[in-house]
Amino acid sequence: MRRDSTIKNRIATLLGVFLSIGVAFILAIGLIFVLSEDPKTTLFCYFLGPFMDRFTFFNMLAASIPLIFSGLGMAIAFQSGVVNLGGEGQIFSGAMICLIVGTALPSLPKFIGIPLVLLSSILFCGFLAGISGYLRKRWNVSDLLSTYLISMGIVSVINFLILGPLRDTNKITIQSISLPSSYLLKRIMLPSYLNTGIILALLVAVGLHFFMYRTHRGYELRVTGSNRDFARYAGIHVGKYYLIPMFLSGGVIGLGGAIEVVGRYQAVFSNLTAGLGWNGIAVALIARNNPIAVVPAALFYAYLSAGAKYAMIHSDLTSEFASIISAIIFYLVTAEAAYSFIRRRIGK
Amino acid sequence: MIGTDIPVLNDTINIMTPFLLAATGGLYSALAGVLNIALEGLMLNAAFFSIVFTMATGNIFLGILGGIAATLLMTLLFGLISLGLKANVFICGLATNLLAGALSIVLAFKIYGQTGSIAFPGMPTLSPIKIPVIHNIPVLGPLLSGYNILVYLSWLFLFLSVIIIYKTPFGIRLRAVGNDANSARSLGINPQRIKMASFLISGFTCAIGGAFLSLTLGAFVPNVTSGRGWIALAIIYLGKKTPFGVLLGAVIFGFVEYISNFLQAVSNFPAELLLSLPFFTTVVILIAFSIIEERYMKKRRPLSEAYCEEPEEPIEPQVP
Repeated sequence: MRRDSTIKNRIATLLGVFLSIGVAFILAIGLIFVLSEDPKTTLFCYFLGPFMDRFTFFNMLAASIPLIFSGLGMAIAFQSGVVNLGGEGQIFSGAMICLIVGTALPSLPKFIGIPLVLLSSILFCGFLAGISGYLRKRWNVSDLLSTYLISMGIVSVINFLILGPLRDTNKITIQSISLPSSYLLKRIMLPSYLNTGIILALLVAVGLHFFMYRTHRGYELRVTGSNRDFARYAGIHVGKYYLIPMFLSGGVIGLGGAIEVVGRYQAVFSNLTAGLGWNGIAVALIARNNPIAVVPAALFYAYLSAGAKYAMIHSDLTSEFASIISAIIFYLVTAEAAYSFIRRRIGK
Repeated sequence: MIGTDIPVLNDTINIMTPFLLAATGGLYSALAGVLNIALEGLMLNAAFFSIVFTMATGNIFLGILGGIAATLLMTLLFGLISLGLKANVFICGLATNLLAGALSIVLAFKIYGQTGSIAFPGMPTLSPIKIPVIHNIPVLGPLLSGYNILVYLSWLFLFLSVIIIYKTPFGIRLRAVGNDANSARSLGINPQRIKMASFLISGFTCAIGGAFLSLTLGAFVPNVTSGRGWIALAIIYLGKKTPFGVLLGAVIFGFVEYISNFLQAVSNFPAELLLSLPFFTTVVILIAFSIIEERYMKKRRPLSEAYCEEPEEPIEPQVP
């Protein structure tokens, strides 16, 4: 009986997520009619564009890699009851640290070098987010504000590095110096940007799922996240669970930034993050904070923005259109009224 | 430094205006017990639409009114979804920020065919107002006179807020809802309605703050708010949710930004590094504030420790 009701709950949740996506799509169609001179072409491009050719399709998969990482990071934070709004800064600094360590040690063999740069990004970004966790634990400083503010500050500092000391003056576009080619991950589906980073992303998702649902520490994290007071009464050392989830969250998100450099761009430039930190939150919400579910949610998200990009090239839409659609999903995905409505309907 | 005394104050007062407006409006939702992290997006939205309407009508006041109307609409959307559909307020706030940023770019492309900064030659900007009598008083004159209308509005609004929050039935209801929504409901107050009203007030003041940003510039620059809404949130929290605290916070952060601007103008210190100054300063102030508060709390605590007040939670969103 109880089992039955949890299954019904899950179905209701799933239906609710699909409902909000459906509503967002309907609004998207309406908006395209308002915004575009040639709605038919734009609609076609937006919804089917990503499947039109190999290059676009595999690039969509490539774009899902950083989304998986930032979605995972956000999911861990939310599930543990902490807020990480510093995704943008963490992705950016993950990319930057990876570049700095890689260029400082140009002649390392591949099998040591790549893990080393990735690890340094994880540690640095974990530390960055960990500061907020520590501040929350030690002095009760709001993690919501501190993650955001530190991240914004770091973004400016990295922009300074790109424009100043680390700028590649031989390039026309403003970007940093490039990472030695020996650090690059293998491309899978040339000529697209898809790289072996996607395998790592899947492994991290599975690993985190195992950690959250199959280990003692993961259990304590989830209990602390759902009710901190209860966790304290149950004898869990809750102070620790500001630090650990923040560190993990920042580390995973930073790893996503590093993968963007070793897998795709080879350099760091100003708009590298392009809202990935915020979209990671949306991905985590769609996935209901479940690490495995983050993967399809990230793919869906990559599809949303790939469609907008395709429509920008082949029709008259700006790529920011995707952000409007994602804002709509953001609005609706947590709408409790919709879920309870569906639950009642199924219950009957 | 003596000679530059007054320009420092003038500039600080100008710079602090968006902070003051956003924080004063956000104060209402904070007192109603909801975390309104949409301040940033609401300001950005107004910054965009006030330029659009000023361009369309050629009149700066119609532009401001248009910006306010567009922002109130967005606030209404935010309020209806978060309160009506019972969606997570924190997430809806993020959605509003995202929507405002994207909407400004998509619409700029649709209307003007470009996605960068928007300005057109001969764009009217807000002109300073000289208050007749006060302007001629030696020290007080330059200090109090010579700002544009929106600066005066921000002061007026802060002053009104003191009265509204502490002296009117609405203010009492507002604080009652923030204290305990359920007890307030048992007294016949409709918490949803109060919260909605508090959102609309924040939307209104943020709209003026956003209009100030772009109309003093005479152009819309994408992401012109650059974190001011978030710093306003910090100001509300640091100001202990009081109008006076908000004023003090706005002065401090206005001054920090003044220093950042000043150094950009006079030194060859890299501008990007200076841009990070307000953010890092905010973090440092947040930490200092929390440490001081902790010390103070300890001092107040009775020897027996039997009565041990829990530290007040910082801004705590309901995590989805």
